[in-house]
Amino acid sequence: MIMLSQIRKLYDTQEALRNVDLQIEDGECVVLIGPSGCGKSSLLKSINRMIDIDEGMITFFNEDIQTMPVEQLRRKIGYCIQGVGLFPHMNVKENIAILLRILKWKEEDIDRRVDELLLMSELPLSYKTKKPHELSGGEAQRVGVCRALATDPPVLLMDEPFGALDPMTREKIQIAFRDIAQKLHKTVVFVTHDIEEAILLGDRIALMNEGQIVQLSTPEALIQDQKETFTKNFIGQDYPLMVLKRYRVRDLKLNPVANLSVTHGIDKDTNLKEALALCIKQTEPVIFKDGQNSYALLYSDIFSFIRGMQDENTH
Amino acid sequence: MKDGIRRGLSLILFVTLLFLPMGFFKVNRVLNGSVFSLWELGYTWILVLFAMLSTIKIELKVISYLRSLFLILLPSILIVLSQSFVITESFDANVARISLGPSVYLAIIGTWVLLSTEAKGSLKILLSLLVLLMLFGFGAFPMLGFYKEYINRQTTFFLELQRHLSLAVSSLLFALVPGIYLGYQSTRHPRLREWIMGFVNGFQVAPTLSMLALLMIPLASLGQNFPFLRAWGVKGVGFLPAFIVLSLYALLPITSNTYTAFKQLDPSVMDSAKALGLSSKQIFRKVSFPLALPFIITGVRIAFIQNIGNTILAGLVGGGGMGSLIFLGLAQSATDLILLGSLPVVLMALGFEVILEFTELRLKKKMGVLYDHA
Repeated sequence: MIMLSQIRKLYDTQEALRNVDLQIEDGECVVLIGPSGCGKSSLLKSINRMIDIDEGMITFFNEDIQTMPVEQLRRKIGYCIQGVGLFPHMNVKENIAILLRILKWKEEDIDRRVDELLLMSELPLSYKTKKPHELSGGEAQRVGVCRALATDPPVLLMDEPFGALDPMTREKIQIAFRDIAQKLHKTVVFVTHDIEEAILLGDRIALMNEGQIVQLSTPEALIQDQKETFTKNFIGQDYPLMVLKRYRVRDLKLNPVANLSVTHGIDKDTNLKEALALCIKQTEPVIFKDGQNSYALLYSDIFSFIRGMQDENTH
Repeated sequence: MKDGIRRGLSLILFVTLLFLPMGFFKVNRVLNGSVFSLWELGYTWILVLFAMLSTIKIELKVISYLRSLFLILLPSILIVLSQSFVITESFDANVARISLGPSVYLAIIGTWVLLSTEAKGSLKILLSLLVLLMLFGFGAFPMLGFYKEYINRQTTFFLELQRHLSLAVSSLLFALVPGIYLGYQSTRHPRLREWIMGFVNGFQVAPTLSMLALLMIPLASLGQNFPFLRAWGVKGVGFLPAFIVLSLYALLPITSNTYTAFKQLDPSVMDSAKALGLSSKQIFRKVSFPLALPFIITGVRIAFIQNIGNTILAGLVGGGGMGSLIFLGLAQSATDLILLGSLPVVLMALGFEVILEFTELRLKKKMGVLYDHA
């Protein structure tokens, strides 16, 4: 889908990107992560030509992006940034519909599309007439995602979009974004410096340092496979615990237990890290309900599950 | 705090009205008049009323309404009263006149300052001014020198007023497109910016008068050497040199404000517009220009207000406008004529300033640029 080969980018004499190779598959989410100045943002921006590379080649659906008209390329790629960049003089609907208007969509189609996007991102339809300054940070970012998705582009580029949000809002919007991207089968390239965010969203994590991709693997594989000392230091000792956040208790595929009273059950969407915390806290097994069945959860279930995921994703 | 200021001001006003000359009675336009002050008129009750209203401490709504009403009417009352002064010798009522003295001017300014400390101050000042203008228009100040000059030149007055405005507006309009264009170009080409700003600044630094003088020479020779140009009005004097100088002067505020207008655009907004796949034309039309517009209008406002003042100089080169009245008054040392020329200019400048600033604020709110921090 997107192929980057031997990318090199110079700022004056400073090398921002050094011979980067990266292949992004259809429908996957690749997270670029690394310390500030590692070139992750430059790499992202080279894909929609917000910056032009000095050497190497990028192909988009097997087409060299240098030969495509730049507006055509950008219209196939949604782009979200930390500052959101909503147009302050337009209301929410006009913001989302700006490209649709330029593409001369019919007004009723625009209305339908905007409603659809707002519903999907869990924003009330009454927000259509609000101006950006009336929105909270999280709401503005949701509108930003809607705008990026307006023409249903196959690819989304996200440049630390949730970085400025408070932790509570951030986690909510991360999960909402992951679900939307999976449901719509979008190919996503996501830049962040937050390892938890990378684990939560990424199908693969590309760890970058000094203009190069140091390591590229699935979040699960990274638990064992830390090739460089840089990787070890960057992801930290508690990395395996953070991976637990990727999964929910209903992903465990436990055998249902009969005749279990679930008065104190937990939600089936609770993530495994929180479930583990509960296991530590209480003496009896953690109980949850999924549909008609009830389940009892032990430490060992979580351990064996994550082992299994590790094996599955490494090979 | 505010009460202290109010009381201090009232005291100053009181003393001013008591001691400073209120006006001059002139038997004709040229002769120096005889001085008189308020107590010579026998209307000292005004002072008593004033002293009472400004020192009284009863917290009654009626009293405060009365006080505001009195202050609003005070300028008109003073001018009406000043006309009642009559000298004992015989005089011709058609040419005799009264010029206002320093105490009236100070009192008018003082009243308005006092009004501005009250609630809805600017509205009350406007009201006071309107009463004054209406009385003037209805001929309530027949003895006033200012009014006599106005009556004598009523047709020229309106003609010059119209010429003044049209000169100020047309030269502004002429500078509008080049000014905005230069400002926009200097945001796009940083190196060009130095040149553009230097060029526009140059006009602003050069004194207006010398610019006029410098322009007269080439324009005059052009007009003499090319008859067809002369037929179009290219001459060393008249409308054209004033028009050119005013246009050049209007450039700087427009250009520099346009430059800052485009420079202060939020980079994340511009980046998103670009990344959405808008062409640079579409970005300009839909995003950057609308967002820059309120700030460009600030520049236009400054240029226009400045132009209204500068247009006075057109009177020097025969370009017309209120300047011709002022310079005529100066030549004849007729103070009232000078006033007749300059007061409308001040009023116009203030009026347009208020109107344009209000429009600007509305536009900024509409564009959402006032809430950028939210």
